[in-house]
Amino acid sequence: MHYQQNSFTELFKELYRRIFQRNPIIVLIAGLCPVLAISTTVSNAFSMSIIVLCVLLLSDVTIRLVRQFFKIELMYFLHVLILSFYVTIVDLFLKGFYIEISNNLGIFIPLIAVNCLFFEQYENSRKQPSFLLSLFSAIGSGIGFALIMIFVSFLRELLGSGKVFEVTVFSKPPAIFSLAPGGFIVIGFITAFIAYIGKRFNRDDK
Amino acid sequence: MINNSLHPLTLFFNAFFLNNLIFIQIIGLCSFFKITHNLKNAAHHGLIVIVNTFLATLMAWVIFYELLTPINAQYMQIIVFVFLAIFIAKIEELLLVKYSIRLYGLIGKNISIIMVNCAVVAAVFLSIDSRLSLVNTIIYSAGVAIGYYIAIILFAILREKVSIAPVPDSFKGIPIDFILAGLISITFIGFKSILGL
Repeated sequence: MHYQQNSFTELFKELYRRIFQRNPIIVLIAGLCPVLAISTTVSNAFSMSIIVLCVLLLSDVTIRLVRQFFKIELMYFLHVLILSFYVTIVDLFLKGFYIEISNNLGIFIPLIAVNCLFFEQYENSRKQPSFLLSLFSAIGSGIGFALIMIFVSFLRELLGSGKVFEVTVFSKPPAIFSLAPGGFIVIGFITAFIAYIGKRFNRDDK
Repeated sequence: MINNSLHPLTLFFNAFFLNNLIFIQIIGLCSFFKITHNLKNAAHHGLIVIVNTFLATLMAWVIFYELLTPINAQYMQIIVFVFLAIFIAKIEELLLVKYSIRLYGLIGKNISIIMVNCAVVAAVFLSIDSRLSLVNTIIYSAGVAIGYYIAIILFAILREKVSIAPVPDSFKGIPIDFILAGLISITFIGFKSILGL
């Protein structure tokens, strides 16, 4: 395996780049479906984030280990195979031990196998010769996904049901935020807010 | 939700309007935002999605009930269905290159986007998960595919209009598209009570 030494600053720079500057959801618009569809409660968002982070890490490490045995033309199919293999494991595991989470997330667990976030990450790691850098980039993507997902679900739970963590904040909430349109509108305002901050402080996100 | 006891027309409209794949179930957004920059591109993409969804759900039904169920291998369904979607897209690409290079020039670049399109795979999973019969699967996949087509055409038309409209500075680009999709989604929710479901 190709292996090279990286300094800690380099690794954390990559982590920071993936979380903030190249955030998969806000900047690259990849892997949106779970962020909008099942972010109605914080607990759903939390379990989805953990699943995505695990699958990202495992698939990244596995493809690094086995890719030297395969031709370059087969890499895409190999990636899909590894991804759907891990998603199958996660699906069966949740059905066996945490049936409630499996029922809440529903169709979106099998759909992780075709999530654009993973293909974006694959394109990124294919060009990256260093093992550790690509691992940190995968962790960064997972954390970036989790941050946005938990933030969106927090806002939607607060606005849609009027309570956070079973504590009632206000009564008579607008129910539209816990339905499908709420997700679009909330993430629209979040991206607009981030664009506003970016322009205000004149920081170019490259 | 959908099941075999529904009237075929109800099933069709359920997939088409009430549980529209994009605006109600929110599946397949990556390609949705990538290809709706202009109407022509969206229309070409929508046609491929219709063909692929139809073929994929049909083949998935046959594979699941005639191949996987007899040998008790239903746990393989995620791997098999994802590869089925990729296989159909690849075969289409090869056939287009062989027989109609002009058509390939028009819609060829969309095929690589659709290779792992969430919408196609989701239609397969939803129809298999709710244990639809073969006839109902065909009706359901037609509903899903036409619903997707209508959704991207609607959105592409509005997006072309919005791209030249004056919007606040920070909302330019993708934020206004999200809010536009949210507003269309509200109208789709309005259809929810139309069939008493």
